[in-house]
Amino acid sequence: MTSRSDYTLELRGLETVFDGEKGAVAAVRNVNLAIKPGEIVGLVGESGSGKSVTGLSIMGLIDRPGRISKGEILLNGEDLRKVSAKRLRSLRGDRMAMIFQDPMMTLNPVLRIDTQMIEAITAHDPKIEKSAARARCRDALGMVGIPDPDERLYAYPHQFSGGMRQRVAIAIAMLNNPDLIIADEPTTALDVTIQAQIIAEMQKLCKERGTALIWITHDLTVVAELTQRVYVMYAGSVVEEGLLDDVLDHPRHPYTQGLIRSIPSDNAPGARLFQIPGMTPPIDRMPKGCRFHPRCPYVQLDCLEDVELVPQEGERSVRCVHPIRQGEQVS
Amino acid sequence: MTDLSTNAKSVAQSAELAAQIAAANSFPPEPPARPVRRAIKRVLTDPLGLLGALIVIVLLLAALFSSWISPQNPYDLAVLDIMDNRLPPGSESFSGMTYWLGTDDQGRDLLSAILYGLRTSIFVGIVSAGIALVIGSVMGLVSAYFGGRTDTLVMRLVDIQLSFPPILVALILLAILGQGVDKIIIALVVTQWAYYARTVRGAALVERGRTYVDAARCLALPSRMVTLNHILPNCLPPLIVVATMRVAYAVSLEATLSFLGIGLPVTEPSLGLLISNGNKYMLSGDWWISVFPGVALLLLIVGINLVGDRLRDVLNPKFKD
Amino acid sequence: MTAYLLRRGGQTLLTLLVMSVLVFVGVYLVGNPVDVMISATATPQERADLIVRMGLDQPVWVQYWHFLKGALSGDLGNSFLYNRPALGLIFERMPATLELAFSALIMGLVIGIPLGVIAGLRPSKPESRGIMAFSILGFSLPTFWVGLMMILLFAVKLDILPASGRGDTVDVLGVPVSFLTADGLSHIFLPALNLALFKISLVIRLTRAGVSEALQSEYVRFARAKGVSEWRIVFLHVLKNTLIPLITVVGLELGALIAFAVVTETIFSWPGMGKLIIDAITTLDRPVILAYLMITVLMFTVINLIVDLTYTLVDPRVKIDGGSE
Repeated sequence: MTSRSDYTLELRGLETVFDGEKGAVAAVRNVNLAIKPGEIVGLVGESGSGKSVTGLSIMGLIDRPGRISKGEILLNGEDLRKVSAKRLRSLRGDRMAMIFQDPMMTLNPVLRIDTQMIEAITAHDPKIEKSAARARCRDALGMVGIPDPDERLYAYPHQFSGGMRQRVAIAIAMLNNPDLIIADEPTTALDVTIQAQIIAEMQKLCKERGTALIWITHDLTVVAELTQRVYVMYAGSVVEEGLLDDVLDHPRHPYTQGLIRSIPSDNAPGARLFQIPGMTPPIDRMPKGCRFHPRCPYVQLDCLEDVELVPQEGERSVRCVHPIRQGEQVS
Repeated sequence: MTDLSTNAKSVAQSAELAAQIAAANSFPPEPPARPVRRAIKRVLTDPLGLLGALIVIVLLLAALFSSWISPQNPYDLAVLDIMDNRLPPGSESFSGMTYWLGTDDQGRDLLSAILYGLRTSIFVGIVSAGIALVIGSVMGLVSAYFGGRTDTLVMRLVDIQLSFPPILVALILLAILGQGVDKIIIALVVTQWAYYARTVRGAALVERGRTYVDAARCLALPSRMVTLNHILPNCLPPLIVVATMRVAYAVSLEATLSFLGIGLPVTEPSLGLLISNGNKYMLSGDWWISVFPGVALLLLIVGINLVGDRLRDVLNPKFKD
Repeated sequence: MTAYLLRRGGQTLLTLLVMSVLVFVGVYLVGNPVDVMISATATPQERADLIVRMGLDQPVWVQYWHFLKGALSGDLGNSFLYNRPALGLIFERMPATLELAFSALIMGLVIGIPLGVIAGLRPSKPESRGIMAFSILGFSLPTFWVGLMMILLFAVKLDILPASGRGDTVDVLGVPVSFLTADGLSHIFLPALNLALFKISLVIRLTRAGVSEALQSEYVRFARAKGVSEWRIVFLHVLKNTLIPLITVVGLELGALIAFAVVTETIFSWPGMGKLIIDAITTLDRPVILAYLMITVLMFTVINLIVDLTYTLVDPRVKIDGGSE
């Protein structure tokens, strides 16, 4: 199969469920996703859309009562659902890494930065010389723009600001030069100026090293700055995917359109900001058919039937019975 | 042009369509929340919680009706026969009565003594916990409500109180006050009020910060009403949990102090004193005089704690006692 | 740092002063120690002589003033019962109590932490449920009754462990200790376990809560994302975060152990301070009661101070400043 090496990561029909009192409910259903080396894709959605669960599922970090129930997770062609726990651990942090949302919580408060960095190296290379590992950590800190990296290695997390902590987390994720990085809203908790710096640095680093990057966010403006392709998720499923410009300029799913319209812009000063009516349904009370239909301005009776993600012309897919055609937009 | 800020249903093309879509989306309504009933139900559906509740109820009833169900009045010296002293369980008396749990060194039926002792222990435990609860809750509410210097003062007092082990405080107080039911109740109240004060203050502070209290203030409701009507009911779940655990602790502490001979006087023997009486015969093999009152004490405390432990899980107060 | 220590020292002195006034006045108001000490056949003259000799004829504030003057020069008065310096009696018995309390503390930690970790790591496994059931029992069972049952089982029925006393002791720096001889060890085992039972339950609960909280934390998830082994996550990331808060509790509980030793010492006839205070309370031996309380309060304060200082050493987030707490 030629496709084996084409993609760094390929998700095929991923389904992750949470076992509850009333049986299993799916937080992520039938998600297909593919990313090539060096590519940056955005995974966009509101909270509760299943985007974080998708990220954690790839890393094999779903805790009980959650579990992956269906699908394949192919990292460089190797199905992570079929490998041993030992193999999965050796891939985690080495071939694939993850950065989390809140930099205040991701570093262990009682361990020094060097302890937390060096263990990420020795976990995959137990025989490495301590001094060599330390040098790599120092270089990694310098690379993400932390001044005095030699000294800062001896600091504790509470001695860093939020932005600096997130840089440390990024440095840790990059330590072993992984093929894939999953970044779960890494800039949401930070100031806008710091956010811009970190995005620019991540973009540069991934380009230099050919790292594939999945950027999970609810913020379309970040996606617009950073990514080449986007997946829009709603209520556990991908509802639209495509190249960045195509999706932003001509959204075909009403939800994507709603997201784009709710970005504040300077085109119409004083105009009321658009918001999508209603809320994301809780995972145990999903509506029938198209999950977006109760909030959709174009709803029809046939929206109550189940709908699949249908490939369109170009690198495009939409999960909608009545996709928006160009020019046919409510404005 | 459509107004996009309205709900989806109004933009649906026809009323008929809107109705059909709404019907397809209807979920059965959530059952109404009845926190107390739900909590009781969840305690009783758990096997350990049910066991605890049953033990507590049986012991409470036994204590309440002890003077009716006891084979003899263990403190009426006229019915005691010193010839019957230290008889093993199941022995028969001269008068033909069976001592199911044996007798103590004065020829007293142990079953009767335990039932009466249980009554004293439960009485002391509940009364002292009740008084401590009232005093502690008031102090906690005052502290949370007035804040500032009052809060500092009360909490400082609580901290000092809690930094001394309860048994030490009780020892000091009993050394000063002497023996007696009222004295031990005072000692138990003093050792326990601080736990309630801290719990109520913690809960009240959390509730005070909530919007509905602000809302009530904005409506210009008198400040006292705001506290009582809005804050107190929300302090109840953690208070119930702490109170359950504290009753068990009070019973245990009273038994300990009585065992040491500085708690209840000999005229009103609680379970602790009964155990203490049997202690000196333990080494000579007359185990039942200490063991049976101990089992009764144990069942009582374990029963209360089983219920309390389950309540803690169900009501899930974030405040540790 | 110096300012901090000075402030803590001042607080301690104040606590001691308030405590001494309260207890002195309190004990003064109850009963007359002379009634306890003198034989029923004593003449009124003998009685009056004794009262004068003990200074009990003077007003309470004068008596307190004498006490305070003595206290400042390290004399807390003579025991009415033994007619010896109360402080000397306390110091004589203190090593036995401290040995018992420390043995119980070590048992509590050595048994409690591993059980708590097991229960925290796999909360739904049967062994974890068993551990938690045991901890409910440990919390519920009154210490004194468990002690009696231990004597009944190990000393009376099985006859494998002694029921009372300290056994053979060895002097270490002039202080007799039991744990260095086999006989002493066999004597201390039951009382220490008895005293430790409550602490074991407490440590189990605290450790379990800490472990399960740490396991759900983002930093553990991040450590897993780094590919760190589960072993290292538990023994470094989780355990260090769990054990640091445990230090405070353990320190405070050492004080509680010393106080609760009263019960255990009574049951196992362990010759410590606890038995002394119980006898003093029942005979209204005021100097001994006062001396015991002063010494205990002092020990508590020192322990609390040590705990706070240790905390600043092990938790990087806490630093002492001279100003506020």
